[in-house]
Amino acid sequence: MKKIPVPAACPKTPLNWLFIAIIASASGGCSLWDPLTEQSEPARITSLSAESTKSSPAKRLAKLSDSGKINPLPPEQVGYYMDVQYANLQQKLSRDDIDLSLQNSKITMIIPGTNTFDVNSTSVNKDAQSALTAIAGVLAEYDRTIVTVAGHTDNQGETDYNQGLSEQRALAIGEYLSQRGITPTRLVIQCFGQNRPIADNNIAKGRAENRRVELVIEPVVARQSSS
Amino acid sequence: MLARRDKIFFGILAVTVLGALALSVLLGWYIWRESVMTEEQRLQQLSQRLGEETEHAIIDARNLLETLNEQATDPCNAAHLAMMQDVAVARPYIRAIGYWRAAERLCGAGFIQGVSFTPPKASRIYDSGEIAWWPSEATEVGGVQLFLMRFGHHDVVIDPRLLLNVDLLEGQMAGLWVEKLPMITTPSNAIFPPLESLKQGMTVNQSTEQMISRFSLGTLLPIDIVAIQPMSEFWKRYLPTLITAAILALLLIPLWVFAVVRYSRQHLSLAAELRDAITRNKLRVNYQPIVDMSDGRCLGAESLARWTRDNGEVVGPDIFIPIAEEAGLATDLARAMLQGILRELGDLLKQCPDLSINLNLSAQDFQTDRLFVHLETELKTAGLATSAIKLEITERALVDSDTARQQIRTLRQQGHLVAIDDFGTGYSSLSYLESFELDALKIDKSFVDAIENQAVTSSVIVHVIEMAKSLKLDIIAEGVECDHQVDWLLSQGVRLGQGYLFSRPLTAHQFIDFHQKYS
Repeated sequence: MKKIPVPAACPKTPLNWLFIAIIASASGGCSLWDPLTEQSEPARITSLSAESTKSSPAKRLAKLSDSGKINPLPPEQVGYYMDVQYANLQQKLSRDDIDLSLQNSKITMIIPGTNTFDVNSTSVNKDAQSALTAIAGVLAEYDRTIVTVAGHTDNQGETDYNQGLSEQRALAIGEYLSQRGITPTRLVIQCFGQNRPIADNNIAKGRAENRRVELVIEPVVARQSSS
Repeated sequence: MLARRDKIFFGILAVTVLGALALSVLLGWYIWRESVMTEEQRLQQLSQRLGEETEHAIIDARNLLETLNEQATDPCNAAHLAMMQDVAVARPYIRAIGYWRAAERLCGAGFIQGVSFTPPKASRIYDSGEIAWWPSEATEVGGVQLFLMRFGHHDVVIDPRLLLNVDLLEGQMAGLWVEKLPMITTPSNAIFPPLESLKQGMTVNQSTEQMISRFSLGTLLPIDIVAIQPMSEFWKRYLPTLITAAILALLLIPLWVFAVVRYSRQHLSLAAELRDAITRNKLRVNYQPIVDMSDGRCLGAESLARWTRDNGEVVGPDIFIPIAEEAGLATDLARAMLQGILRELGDLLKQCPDLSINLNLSAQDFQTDRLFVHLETELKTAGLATSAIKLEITERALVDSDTARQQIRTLRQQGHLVAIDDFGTGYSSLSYLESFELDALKIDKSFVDAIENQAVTSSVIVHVIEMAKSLKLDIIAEGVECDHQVDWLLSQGVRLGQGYLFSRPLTAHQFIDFHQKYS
């Protein structure tokens, strides 16, 4: 298999990973393909791919609220729904290194790369699996949301490599969640490589914080009828 | 005279009124303080109790939710419904319990059926996953705003009115805050100042005539209880105490007035009687001989005033001298004494020029030169030398030093001898005494008493003697009562003494005899 640079496959603008994967496999030129074929069940990916779209989260949300695939929330219930879901996540998350926050009816979870992936690895380790199982349980109950999984790295090493690593890690988590019953329709995979640091890359602690996967949970809200 | 009497009268009146006023104020202050403290304590205990009940209810509800989460294996079946019903009925403040999936209430139990509260904004989300909505319009049913808590799949609806036991508060305005958020007020439309603006404990707001108390509990949840009552309520509650206080005041004030009147009348009448005794020459003079202790010769005497009232009661000088000074009679007293001495012993003094009689002066005598003018003219009339009358001045009289110093100098220039009396009992220092021109120093009886025997002696008396010597003053020991005191004093070079060892105070006749015997 030939190694070609990632950018074409995973640009800065969010794209669905499965879409990319299909394109990549068709063209036979995406580095992304390797870990997936090695560590995931191809059948599963095929089933997920059928549900996937090319949209950004915003477009996906708009589309989903009309599609009937997800029962959209009436606007007046959004606050309650997200508050309760957030509290439920608080209750179920035993790992305190996962940063959980709720803002503007959006729940953000920052899962540090450390303790989740081994160095340079893209497979979710045992410790992280139990946390992700708990998260998947809550996401399954609160199924009127979409979940964006975004991978990030520090600035060490090749930009392209980092881009690929972030993508693979986001994919790994997305894959894990879908295995735990989260329908792929609700999942959006994004990869940012080293482009969106949240801490100082010049120090070890900052780099550790930058190596992360972010999960953003957004409600699917019914469009306000004119009545 | 009238002016003085008026002054005294108004003085007494002022003391009476001020005393009564002070008494009332003190009593009033004390009762007020006691009542406020009692009230504060009462409210604190009440708040503590209400706070604990509230905290217990919230913790209990939380634990209840946890138990229900654990036991609802097959939610909404008959057993689950019965369990929810049981726990709800067992707690008066629980209005409903619900089982939820996400934002959908699937089943539940309690008084308010079929109502699913989904308030848009949680008041608190705890790290352990509890989520709570404080009473608001979003949780209102039948005009009552309810408190909502959800944990996992269950929620509980609490009626906060039942957390604030109104019976205990006896109709006061009260408010309950949990986590600094308002939970309930009674009456429900009561308006409270912002919690942050209230001080801990009880404060009295004079402008609104309200008593505001705030007590906080902070064991597990921060809980604040605020109670507001009008001052009139407070007064009503403590009316019996106030009545008791008023009765006490009514009893005490006449008692005080009576005491003042009685004291002042006694004092005034004694002063008036003393004035009368002085003007009518009814004071007697006694003479305490002063002897040379080495040979027993009588060299003179200290004159002492004696007063026997008309009813035969003997009043001691320790009582009537201060009365005389207070009533401004000291100089009159000294003058009467002088006249008595000259009348009784004038002849003897003329025959024996070496003999001298000591006259005690008070601080008042130095305020004017009235006494000294008399002294000069009367000695001249009697044909006596100025050395016949020695003047004794107490240390206290020397304090107002500048005028006294000038007058003492004048008196000495005229030929009087000046002795300082009761030496050692005041605050004189050597340097201070040095600034006066003096002739003799009388050692106070208390120092002489301290001479136990020749071996053991007070060090103070040694210093006093040394001081007198260095100032070149004659020394007279007062209150000599034992032979060993004489021996010791003589060994220290003190020759002159007076006391019961030599003689008691004598009348003029007795003194003339005594002098004849020891001259």
